[in-house]
Amino acid sequence: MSTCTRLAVVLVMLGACSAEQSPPLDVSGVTAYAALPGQAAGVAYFSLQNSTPVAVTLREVSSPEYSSVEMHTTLMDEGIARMTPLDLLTIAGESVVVFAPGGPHLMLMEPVEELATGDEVTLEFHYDYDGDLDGEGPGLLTVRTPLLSR
Amino acid sequence: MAAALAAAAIAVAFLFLWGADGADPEPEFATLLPEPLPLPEFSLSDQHGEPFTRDSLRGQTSLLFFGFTHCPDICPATLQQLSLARKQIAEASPGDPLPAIVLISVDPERDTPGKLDKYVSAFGEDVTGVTGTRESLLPLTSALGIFFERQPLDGGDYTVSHSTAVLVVDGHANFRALFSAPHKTEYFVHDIPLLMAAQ
Repeated sequence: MSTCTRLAVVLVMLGACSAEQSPPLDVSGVTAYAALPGQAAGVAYFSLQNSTPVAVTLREVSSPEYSSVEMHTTLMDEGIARMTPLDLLTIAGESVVVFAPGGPHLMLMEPVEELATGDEVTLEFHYDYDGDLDGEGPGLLTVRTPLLSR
Repeated sequence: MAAALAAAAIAVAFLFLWGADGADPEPEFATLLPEPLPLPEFSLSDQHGEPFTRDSLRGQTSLLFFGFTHCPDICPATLQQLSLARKQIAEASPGDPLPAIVLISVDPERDTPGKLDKYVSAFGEDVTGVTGTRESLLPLTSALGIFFERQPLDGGDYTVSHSTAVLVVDGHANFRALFSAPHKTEYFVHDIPLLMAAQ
């Protein structure tokens, strides 16, 4: 095997490794607000990008710092906001879902310990993926983010 | 010839800067009522437990928002935008009168004056939290076309569906204009000084 051929094989292997290690889901722009005084829950917003051609299903989000994390969406209907729980969220192939005020959002409920602005919290995104990557099946993506104040 | 061209250029620049028709700038994002609508009599309480009535709105332009403290999403986001807008207006025109921000709770069962006091303080000074019984809210919400309704959640909890408009009430307690969602800070910053100047 020539040097060039060996190099090409190594590059292909590296490319394959890179593809295997890339999760199908990417989380960016995470903004988490601590609960305001008198408020029952904090809230988190972010963008979820599915760069693969196959749909990813977000089953739940958890956090070791909170007793529960719930996915909700605010539906706007002729100027009226109605909040609805989201049991699952499907991110279609090669698409982005944005969690933002007035739309999908995470409710961060019942902190395990008292939290203050600036404290870091962990968000664990549990998803299912049916694509061809090695990450096929249940997946977990973890991000850490500081709590902001309003 | 050159002088005439220069004069024409200055005239065009002037018209460009001040509007092609020379008119004063107008609100672009708020919807103005054809006629000011006097608010009805109502009797509620502020975050200190003091009476909050129609007369409490006299003497200063107020921005009314109907929401609740358990709302994690659109209520704090809107109050944050209003607070930021007021700060930017103050910085742009020091000394000019500023609007009051008033959160009127549509969840009177949970939003006690004490709870509202802690909550509204997170959005800066001169933010008033108002609450009362459902019955005492209805004269105001009915007159202003504000909708609110309890919506059960699993586990016996509930949330409240509600109108998201920000209402502009002048210093004579007249409903003058409203901002419809989605809200943006820059919409408030642009329109509120114009609405206040026109009153």
